[in-house]
Amino acid sequence: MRALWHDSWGSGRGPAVRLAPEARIAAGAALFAASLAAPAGTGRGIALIAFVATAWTAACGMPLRAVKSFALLGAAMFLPYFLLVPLLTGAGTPGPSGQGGFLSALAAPWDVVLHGFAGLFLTAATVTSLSASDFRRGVLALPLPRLVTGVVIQIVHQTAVLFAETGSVAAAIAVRSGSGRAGTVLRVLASVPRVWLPRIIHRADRVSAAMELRGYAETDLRVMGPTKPRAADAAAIGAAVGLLALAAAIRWDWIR
Amino acid sequence: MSAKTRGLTSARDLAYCGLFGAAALAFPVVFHVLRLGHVFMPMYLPLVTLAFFVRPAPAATTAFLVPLLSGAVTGMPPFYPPVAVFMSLELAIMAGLISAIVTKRPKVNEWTVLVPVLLLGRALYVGLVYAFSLAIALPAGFMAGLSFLGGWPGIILMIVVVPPVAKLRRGRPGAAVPAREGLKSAYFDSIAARWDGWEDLPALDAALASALERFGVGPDEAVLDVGCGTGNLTRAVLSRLSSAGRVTAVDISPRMIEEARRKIRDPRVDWLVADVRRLPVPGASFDRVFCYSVWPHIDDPGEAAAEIGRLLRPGGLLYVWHLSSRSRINEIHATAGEAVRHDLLPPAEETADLLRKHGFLATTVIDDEAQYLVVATYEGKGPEERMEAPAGDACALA
Repeated sequence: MRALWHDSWGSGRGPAVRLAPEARIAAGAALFAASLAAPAGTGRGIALIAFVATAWTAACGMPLRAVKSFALLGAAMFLPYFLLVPLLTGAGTPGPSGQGGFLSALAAPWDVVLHGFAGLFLTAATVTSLSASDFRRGVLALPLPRLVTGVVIQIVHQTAVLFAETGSVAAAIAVRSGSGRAGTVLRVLASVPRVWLPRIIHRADRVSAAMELRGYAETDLRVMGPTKPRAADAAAIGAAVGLLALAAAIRWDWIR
Repeated sequence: MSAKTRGLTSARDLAYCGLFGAAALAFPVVFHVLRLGHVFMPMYLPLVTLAFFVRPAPAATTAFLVPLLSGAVTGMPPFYPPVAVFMSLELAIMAGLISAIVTKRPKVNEWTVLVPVLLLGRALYVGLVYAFSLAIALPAGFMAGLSFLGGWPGIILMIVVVPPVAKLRRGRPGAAVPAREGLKSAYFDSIAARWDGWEDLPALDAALASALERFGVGPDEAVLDVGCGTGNLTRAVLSRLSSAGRVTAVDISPRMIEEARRKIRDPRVDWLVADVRRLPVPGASFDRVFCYSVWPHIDDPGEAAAEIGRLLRPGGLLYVWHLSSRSRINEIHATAGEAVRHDLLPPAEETADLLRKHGFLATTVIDDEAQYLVVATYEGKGPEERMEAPAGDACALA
């Protein structure tokens, strides 16, 4: 996960990267919603989900290494849902050959796996299309409450710092204790209540004092430099919203 | 302008939210190395701890955003099935509740807040899992039972780890204390040892004694010294009191109080590290309140005036007082540390107007080259309406 966190930000090299950051975030969110709205029980729904996830992953130029990592992660998270099939088989309605119960028992895990994989790749692809500064700019440009943008930006900024600091603590523990990876991790865990969390509190005090001195809280969060709406951004968002509408239509048709 | 008036959050809250939010993203990494992520719910630990340190809105917002952010960047927790959303809701409700309780009752025992809130959160999460599983035709009872049983090690870990860490909030600027006060407290801490070296103490003692004689401080009075600093006024007041008289000396800087206590060892004094706007003292307790050399450092003078009104007996006197001119005070602050650079003393008439709005009658208003003095009599509500002390964040030292 640590590798995923570091490798994800700004590693995409696809055409979507040329869109404005806020357009990438908005389009990614709309496509994510489309993938959720489309039903996994119909051919059209499956095709739409697969198309949306594949096309956006390609458009963002998600690196192959990240694709492999997320595929493995998705397999570990979602494939176990098929283990529920024996529990569900009894609940299904068997056909004349007895296969109907099994197939209907597959429906729910299949729904989870397909939507889960699609959601995983859509969000990950969106993140790979954004560097940390793009993300900040995009979040600030979106019509979100100031509290939300402030907290999100702080979290993203501090996470990189904290990963580095935790790595340093772990390295120091490993050197001093001479233990292996698992031993080091255990020692880091043991240090959490007495060292790690109090260190975070002290760090938060220092950071807040620095922010206060620089007048951070009294300065409105603003995008640096004006952003002009561009045709490409509008087209991307429009296409994503169109796919969302199509997914909703397929879902409506499927329900009826 | 105080953080409270700026909005729902302050720089301090943002810094805490950023760091604890980051910890909630980083912490699961350590657990996942040992394949313990699902068992111990590591994302919860920093977010639940955070709720003890910041106000409800930032605490709940951070707790809501972190699972979504983690889901987007690392894929864990997943968005579908909507584990990330369920966690967001559970964590936001837990963090908001804890923070609201702690803000309202700062001295509450951490365990008594934490345990019921954790159980409530778990019940909510299990309920959401049950409802969703039912909706997509997964075995709802099995999934809910799995979620219920799987969460216990994490809940036990939080019950063991969070309260001792949350106790650290005591003795530091608390959830309800704006950031600038913490900064000011640190600033005055840093200069406490040097403060008396900047004064001509014999001359100051003489000036204070002479002024207190003019003010007619009686021997059996109860006096509040707001912003007592190193205790120079406290000592001058004590010299006029009998054994029945008493002084409550308050400052936001623990070091200033330490210096004052070192100089003055007198059982007639109660020392408090506290904010004048939230003093844990019963109403109608004092005959006089002195705000000597402190008024411009109070972030919200209106709130302070209201609180002082609560503390004064009917007809009690408030003194907003400096033994220098307003221009001299403002010049000193403008060139002092960043923490007090914007602490400017308004014209005395403005101060008198503000006090009038809070039930005082200003009887003396002096704003000249020798001193700044506003004396006001409290004429507001009767004592029976103002006996209850607010939930202050104070540290009583004696």
